[in-house]
Amino acid sequence: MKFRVIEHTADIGIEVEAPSLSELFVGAAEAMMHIISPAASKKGKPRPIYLEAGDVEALLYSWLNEILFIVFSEDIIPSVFDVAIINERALKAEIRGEPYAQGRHELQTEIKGATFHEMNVTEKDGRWIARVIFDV
Amino acid sequence: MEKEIRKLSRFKWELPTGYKSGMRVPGTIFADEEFLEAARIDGALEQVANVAFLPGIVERSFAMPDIHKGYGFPIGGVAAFGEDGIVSPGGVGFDISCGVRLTKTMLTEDDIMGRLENLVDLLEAKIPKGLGAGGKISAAEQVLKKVFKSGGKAAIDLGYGREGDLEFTEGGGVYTEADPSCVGKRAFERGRNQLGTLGSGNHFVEVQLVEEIFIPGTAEKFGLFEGQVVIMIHSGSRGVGHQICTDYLQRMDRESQKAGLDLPDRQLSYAPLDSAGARDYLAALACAGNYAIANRQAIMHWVRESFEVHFKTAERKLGMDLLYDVSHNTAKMEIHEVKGKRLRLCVHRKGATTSFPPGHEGVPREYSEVGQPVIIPGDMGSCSYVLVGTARSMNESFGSTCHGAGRTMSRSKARKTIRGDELKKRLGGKGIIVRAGKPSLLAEEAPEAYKDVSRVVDICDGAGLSRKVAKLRPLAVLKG
Repeated sequence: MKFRVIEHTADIGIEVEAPSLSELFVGAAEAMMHIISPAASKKGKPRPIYLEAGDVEALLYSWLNEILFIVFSEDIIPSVFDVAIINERALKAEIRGEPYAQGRHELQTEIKGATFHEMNVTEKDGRWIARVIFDV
Repeated sequence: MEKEIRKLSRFKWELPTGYKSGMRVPGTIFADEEFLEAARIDGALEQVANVAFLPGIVERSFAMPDIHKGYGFPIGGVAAFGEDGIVSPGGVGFDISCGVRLTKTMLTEDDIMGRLENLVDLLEAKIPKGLGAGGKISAAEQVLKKVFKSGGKAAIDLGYGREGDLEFTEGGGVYTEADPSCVGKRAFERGRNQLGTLGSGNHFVEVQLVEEIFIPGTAEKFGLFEGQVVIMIHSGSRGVGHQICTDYLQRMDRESQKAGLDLPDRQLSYAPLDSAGARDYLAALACAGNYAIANRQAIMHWVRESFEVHFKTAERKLGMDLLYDVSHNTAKMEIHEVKGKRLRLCVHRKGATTSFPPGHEGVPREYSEVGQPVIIPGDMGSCSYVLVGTARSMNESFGSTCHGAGRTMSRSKARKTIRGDELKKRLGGKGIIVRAGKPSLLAEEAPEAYKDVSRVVDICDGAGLSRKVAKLRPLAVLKG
């Protein structure tokens, strides 16, 4: 999995590449957390997640916004993501993270939401690529 | 069919329907040559064109001079929709009812200089700011419902402010269409401990000085004079707005996909105005708007308290009256005259401010003769403005004008090219006290990352969308 940050005048985006859809979703979550709070520890209580959506882009939207809710409402900094893609419209996942603690975690950027703007998820020759723009 | 952008007047350009196939109406961009070119390069003009695709759009898709690329709508975008039209969460954004308020004082520079650091210490201690900062108000569900329903009044009932503040808040301090039952559980959760918090990014509290007056009569009506100390607060609806936008985008996306809508940008999913989806979204948006007003009301209360402690004088005696509070990310039902007919329209303003003329029902009675105050926050190194609404804006842009400077540089580029600690030193050299979280966050908000706000307001003035009343310069900045 690799990712790069996309330049956008007002906001920020990510482009992620991975060998499978599950890894793509893991990569997108890690890239987003890299923007919010990089280098968190790999500890924490596991938390199960199940999501359904109309298509793979909407599933990615739900996944990233689910994580944002956990970060900004429960003050948890997730760092480990296990994702099992059921099909392009549903996933099961387990995420792990620690409660935010000043000094241990560095909060860099508040992401207000993952948007549908210019969002796409594509597969070519066994490589999956996703692009997401965030409102910051 | 005409495809090229056409100059209509000095600061007004037309994006013809031929610019992009699918546009129902032309676009109008208020800009000079340089801002127009910048908007073309960063893709914002394409977004003006995309908005013109939406059903029921009335007259034109507009862009204010602070236009830059957003998601869905451009920032600086204005669009109105008739009864056969739509509402789109992408036309408002995540920070619903983000806005600014300006509090006056009777103090002058001499009263404040020398001891300003101490005052800023007090402000910093009282106002929660930045990421991860919880609020001091714990709002249980019943309290939140009141805030969602009645906005500024709920904050005042909780002890944050005085009754007279409401008259000087847009809409009397309340979005009347609010219905808390349209707000999801998650938005309630996020609202619990964020009331009275500044947030991060471009949100701030600034102590400013009135540097120049352009229209003395209007300034006098607003209670402004040269050399006066004023306080500007810029914040929004915090996690409540973010979550409401997230939830309704998801719902409208699902419905738009199901209906097989062909959208130029998926972020522009919408609901027809006569649908349950639109009614629910507008009722939830109103709750976020009320939360935002209550949020700024609580912050202003702590500003007043800080001044009281610092000057050992009651805030009323210090003349700490609210000049005005106005939002720049909204969708509201408003009456506008179109081709001689009075129509009820859903006006989206994403990074744009109302600019109502003298005598308009939306203007506080005290300002009725001169028009609505428009508060324009600039970047922290230069200046901010107070403008006044005009009759011309009602004909030109559904009563709208700009909202700020508008970014020109991405946040990551700003971080790479500007050092926060050096910037702080540079601002300090200009006599501006800066209190911010991390230096990198400060760098993102550097003056060079923004357009020149003076040019933005000059274009608005030149195009007749609003008139310049006063220029304010920063003395101290509290950044989220």
